[in-house]
Amino acid sequence: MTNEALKMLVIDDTLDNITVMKAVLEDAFPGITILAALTGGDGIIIARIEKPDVVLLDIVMPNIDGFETCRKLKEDEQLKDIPVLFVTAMSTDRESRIRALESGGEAFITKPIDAIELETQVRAMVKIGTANKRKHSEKELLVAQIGEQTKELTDELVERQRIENELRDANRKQMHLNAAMLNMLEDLKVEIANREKAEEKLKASLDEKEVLIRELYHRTKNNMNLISSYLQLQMMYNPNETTDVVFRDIISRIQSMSLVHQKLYGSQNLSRVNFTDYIRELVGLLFNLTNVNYSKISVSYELEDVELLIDTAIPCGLVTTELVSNCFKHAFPQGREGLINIVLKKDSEKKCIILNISDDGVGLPDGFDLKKSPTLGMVTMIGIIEKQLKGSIEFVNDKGLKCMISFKDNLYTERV
Amino acid sequence: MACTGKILIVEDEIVSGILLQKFLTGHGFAVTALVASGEEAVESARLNRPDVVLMDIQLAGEMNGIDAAVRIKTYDDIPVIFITGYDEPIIRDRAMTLAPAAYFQKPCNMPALLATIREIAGG
Repeated sequence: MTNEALKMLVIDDTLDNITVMKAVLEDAFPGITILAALTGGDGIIIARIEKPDVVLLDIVMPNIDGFETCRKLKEDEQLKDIPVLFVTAMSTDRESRIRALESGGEAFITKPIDAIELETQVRAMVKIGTANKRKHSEKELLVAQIGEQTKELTDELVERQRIENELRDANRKQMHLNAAMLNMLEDLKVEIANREKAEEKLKASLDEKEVLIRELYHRTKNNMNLISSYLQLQMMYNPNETTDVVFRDIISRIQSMSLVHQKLYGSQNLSRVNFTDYIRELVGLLFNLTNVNYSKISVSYELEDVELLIDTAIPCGLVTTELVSNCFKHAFPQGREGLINIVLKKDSEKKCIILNISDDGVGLPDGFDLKKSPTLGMVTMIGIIEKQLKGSIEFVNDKGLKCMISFKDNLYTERV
Repeated sequence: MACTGKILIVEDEIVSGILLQKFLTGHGFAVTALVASGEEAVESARLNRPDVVLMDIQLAGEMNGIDAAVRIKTYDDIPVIFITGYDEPIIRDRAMTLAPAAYFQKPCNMPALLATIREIAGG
């Protein structure tokens, strides 16, 4: 510390003493600031304001003596670190020395003032004061650090507390959520069980519906067969060449429809008929019904796998019946041998079905237009193809008769 | 052609039965009876001992055609020809365990049926 920064407070009720000490000190510490007070009370007030580095204190003073002044200085938290150097004439008074030290003074010096001793004592006091300040500031630093750390810890504690509270809240919410989830799970279980029951009922209902539809097909087929049986009996009981032809045509048509129902009854799919199998069985039936000689007429098949809906299969079956029956009746007269060829295929591009039925029989007489033939069979067949199946029919009379039919395969949608 | 074969027709659809009867008698066979139930079939077969039984499987009454055939075969090995409208594998398999003379599906191929009967019963 430089002298300029030094600040001394001299408290003495004798102005001369103050003047002497001021002179000695200014001599020993050039640039020093000397403050002075004539009473203990003034000294304390000045000390509070100026915060001197050292207090030089007289003992014998009116009102508040040096001991009391020192005690008050040392009791003051802001002043207690300032070293107090007693300046007294009572050098031999042992009790005063003890009191001086007890009241908190750091040292004492006797009057008359010895300049060197004063300088030395003051330097020692300055060191004590500096040490006290350092100690104080270190303590303050420590307190500040501890305070900071305490604050950090407190903050951390508060933060932890906050996090714990949040965790507790989250746990509580999670528990509520879990309980809600459990309830939902239970509800879901009940819902699933209900749905399973509903599905079982629905399946049972569907199975029942399938059984009923099959039974319906079966009974329809049986009833058609019954009608056929009646017609056949009618032919037997009242044989007549003219009416027998009509009866046979009717029976053939009924059988072609009955066979569709029979195939549907036996099919996995209740809506579609395997028309490939159907054609083979239909031709077998027609052979029996029209008393064709198996040894003379043969049938060849070129059949792709084609499935038709009942709405298409019935009219298509009737058309096939008409054409094959016509071959049996007209293509091979007088026991002529011959071959009937049946082609069934899909035209994927045009999305249509092609049915060709041809024979190598006698063919049509020259100039005969089959489409204009007024027979029941021809009129109904052309009507079915063109109006019901939205298709076309062409006849080619060349080395027998070839009939070419095509019709859309997507006219109807599944009903069952 | 004179035939001596005696035939029992078991058919619950009587019109179809009559048609069959008419067809067979027209070809010289003697139809001993036309019955609609299994019970009647067993009784008729016991009394008349036909040469062939034409047996529908679905019948009126408690007894079906297969059960009736089983009963008939317990006292006489009369050939049985099954004729059925229900062509289901489970029914066919059960009918086949009785080693029938033939198994036809309705509507019956009449020439084939006639040929089968002639082979068994003569004629």
